[in-house]
Amino acid sequence: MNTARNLNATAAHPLRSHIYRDVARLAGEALAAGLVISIALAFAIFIVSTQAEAADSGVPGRGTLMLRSGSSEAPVAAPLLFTDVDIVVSGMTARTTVTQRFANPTPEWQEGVYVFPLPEKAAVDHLEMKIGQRRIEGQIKERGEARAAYEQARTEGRKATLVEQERPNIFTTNVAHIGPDEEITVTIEYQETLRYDTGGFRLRFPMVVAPRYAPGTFAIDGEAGTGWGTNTDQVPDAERITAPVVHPADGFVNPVTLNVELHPGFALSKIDSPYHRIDISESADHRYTIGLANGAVPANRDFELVWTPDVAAAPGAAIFAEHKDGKTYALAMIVPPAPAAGNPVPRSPREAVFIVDTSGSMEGTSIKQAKEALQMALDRLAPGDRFNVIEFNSVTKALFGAPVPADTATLAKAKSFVTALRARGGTEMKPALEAALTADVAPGFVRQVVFLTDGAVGNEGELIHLIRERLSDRRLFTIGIGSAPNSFFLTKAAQYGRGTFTYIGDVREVAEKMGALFTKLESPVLTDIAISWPGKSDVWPREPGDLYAGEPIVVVAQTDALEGNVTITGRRGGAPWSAAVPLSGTASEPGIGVLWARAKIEALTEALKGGESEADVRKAVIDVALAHHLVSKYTSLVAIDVTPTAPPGTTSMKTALPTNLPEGASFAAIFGGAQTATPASLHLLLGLLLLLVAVIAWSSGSRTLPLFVKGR
Amino acid sequence: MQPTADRGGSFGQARNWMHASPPGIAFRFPKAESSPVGSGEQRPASRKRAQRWVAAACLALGIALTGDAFYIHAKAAVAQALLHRAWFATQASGVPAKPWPWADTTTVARLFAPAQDVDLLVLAGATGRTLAFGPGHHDGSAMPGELGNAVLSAHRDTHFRFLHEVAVGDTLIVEMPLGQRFHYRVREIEVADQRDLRLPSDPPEPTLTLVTCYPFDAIEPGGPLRYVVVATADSGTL
Repeated sequence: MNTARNLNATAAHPLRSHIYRDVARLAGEALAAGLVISIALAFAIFIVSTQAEAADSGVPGRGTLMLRSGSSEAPVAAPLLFTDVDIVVSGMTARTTVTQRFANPTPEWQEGVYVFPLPEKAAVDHLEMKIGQRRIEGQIKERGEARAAYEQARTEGRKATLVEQERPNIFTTNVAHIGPDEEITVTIEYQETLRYDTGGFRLRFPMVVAPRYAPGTFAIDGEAGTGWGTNTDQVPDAERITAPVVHPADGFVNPVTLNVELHPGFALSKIDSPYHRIDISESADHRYTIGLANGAVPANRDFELVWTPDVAAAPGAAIFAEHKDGKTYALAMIVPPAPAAGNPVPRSPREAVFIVDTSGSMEGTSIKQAKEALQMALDRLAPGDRFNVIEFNSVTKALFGAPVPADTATLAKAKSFVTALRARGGTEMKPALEAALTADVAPGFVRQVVFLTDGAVGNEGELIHLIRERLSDRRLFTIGIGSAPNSFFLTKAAQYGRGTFTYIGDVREVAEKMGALFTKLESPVLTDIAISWPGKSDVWPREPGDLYAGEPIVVVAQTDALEGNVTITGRRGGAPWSAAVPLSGTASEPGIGVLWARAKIEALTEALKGGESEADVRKAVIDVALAHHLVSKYTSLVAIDVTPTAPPGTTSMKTALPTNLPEGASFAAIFGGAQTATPASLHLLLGLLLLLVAVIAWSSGSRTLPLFVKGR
Repeated sequence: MQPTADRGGSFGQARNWMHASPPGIAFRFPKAESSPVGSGEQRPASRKRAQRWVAAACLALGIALTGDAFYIHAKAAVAQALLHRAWFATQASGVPAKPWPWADTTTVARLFAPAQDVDLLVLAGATGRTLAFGPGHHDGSAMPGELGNAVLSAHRDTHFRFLHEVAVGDTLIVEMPLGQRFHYRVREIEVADQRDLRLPSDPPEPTLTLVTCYPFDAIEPGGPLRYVVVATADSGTL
């Protein structure tokens, strides 16, 4: 049959082309065979040499050299932790009780150290330690005094609990002398103001402190701690904010149960928990009880609850008051109405600089969210705008030397740049911010910086200071990415950046959240805001900053009388605007005094970076904190048992409680440092196998190979 | 003509061998059954075509993968040559020289292992990007010569391949950009699970830690084990 076809082909002129084709095929075959043989030989040599080298190096034993305990034995198991969270929401405020149960399943006496997050505005004012049926109230003390009291109790064999603040959103619980098979329950309570934005209230309960990166050089004089971090000149307490992290392959630790009693005070149209499955039950009078659908969840991502009032019930202004210790405190929330339609402000050209965090902590789901959000933001640029994209991890890399006009070519380049981004390495944020906030001027442009990050750094204060100093006429907007973003850094960076912040915790939220941000990006609704309170009043914050679409003004005051009007003035769309809210008939609500003290402490602490002397700030903060029983940078809560329970001479092993890796993050990208093997050997092996398959497939399919025809 | 005939013969045998065995699963394409031309004559032809496609695809992918393997090793070697040139230029002029125009990392030190005749330039940061070119110095670890622990990582199959020949008692030397050299002596060699890996940040004496993947001759990358060589400063040199 083949012969017949070949004979047919010999007709005339097709013969030539046939010969050429056969020759070409032969040449190709020869080349491929040569390549295969040479590669196979190279591979054989490679394998032989590898084997030989491997043979003469003795296999070393598996050591535990790198364990932090420094001992050669296996590490002692840490106490177990169970957390129960109860949140009661009423109106604009929430009171949360966090119960941490420390159980010691080991035969040794233990001291547990747990580093955990709380909302960045949490006013922690209550601590109780429970041993069996005994309850011991916590006392507020200056940080140093509290620690000394704790150490003293520990030396005397008495049980004690110490709660310290490391950052406004990171706290540490120390529990001394947890006996074998014993359980100590620590209850912490805090008050917070809820966030109201774009028609919905948001409650956030963070569950884990994401591993923080500490830039800078090794510093010997930092604060001692139990974490894996290394104290540096820029983060002198890195050891205190970096809890050990359990490898995801070893399962989860720290189960959390969570319940919310929701008393919004008005009818709701929607209740939503975007990251956890919940059960909702409604009782009379717009009261709701919310629990986690699956009971306990691992502490590995922020819990968020969003509830939306009925349109008719949407608040315009609300004032709550508390009379406490002969003083009156009031909380006011005012939502400025949206700008009147009809005279739309013409859109001015924008200069947008996007900064995207591509450090190791962003690897996994976070970088996907960031890339998607960034692509959407690029799509929104209009002709006439200018833009740049800056990527940073250990090094900062800008797409363009300076912002360029947004046209088809530059946008295409930017999109492929974003598509190719990979998350690896350190979080050196400062050079990236400096690159985005360089001092050039752009007359006629509205200058915006959009910053996408999880904020997993330890030098927040320094970065916020940098933003404050270099901002010029720009506005900086933060987009918090991932399952456990650093909300303190993100909100403060946006506040001092005169912008606003957004969280994206899931790639499905990107479109909705970015859409909301774009409306805000266009322009602030209210600027130059001033608040005047009647009578003799102490109002915080003093400078509320600018407001964006859908955001309220929230201020807390200590005042002498609840009469007259609170007056807010500002500029809206270039024209003066003012509103007055009557104080009479204010609803009574406990906990406002604590919120006032917390707002004052926050403002005082930030004055530190504004040039106030540390001694003055410290004294002012301690005065307020002690009066209101509040944990702060300079004050801690400590609870001490009356009688010693540990046998004399007991030295409890100090153990840092491990935490989970935030959901969706990559352990190897954060802790693995680098992957210290290349895929070269694997690729070589696979490549050679494929070449072999190619040869076999080719020769079995090539019946018409000229060689065989000739061979017959 | 003799060699050609020989070669043809061996290919012919391979072909016959393939035909003797039942057709391999990989070569059976449903496409051959659903060929628009239904005659039995055409079936082998379309199968042949399918086999050609498989062969071409395997050839292309095979060449790409083997090429990549060689590229990884070539890049590692060429980058070190360029880095050395830049290092000498920097030391001669006092002005930092870039090894290649688009380089986004800097050299921090030069590492010698005299016993293995190894001379490597160390880059700032131990990320995948830097490790392709040379050993990386971990951000946040001490600089060589300082008090503390200087941690360097590199790939087990390129730059740190020599580590498995390093023995306790060997000397390692680190040269800094200004020319000063620090001598270290290897104290311990261990294999540790990366999940337990906690590098001490404040060892009692200046320490140099070299980390690479283990085992050295594993084919697949990404294993959890790390080969850790710990060296401490030789007295008198720091």
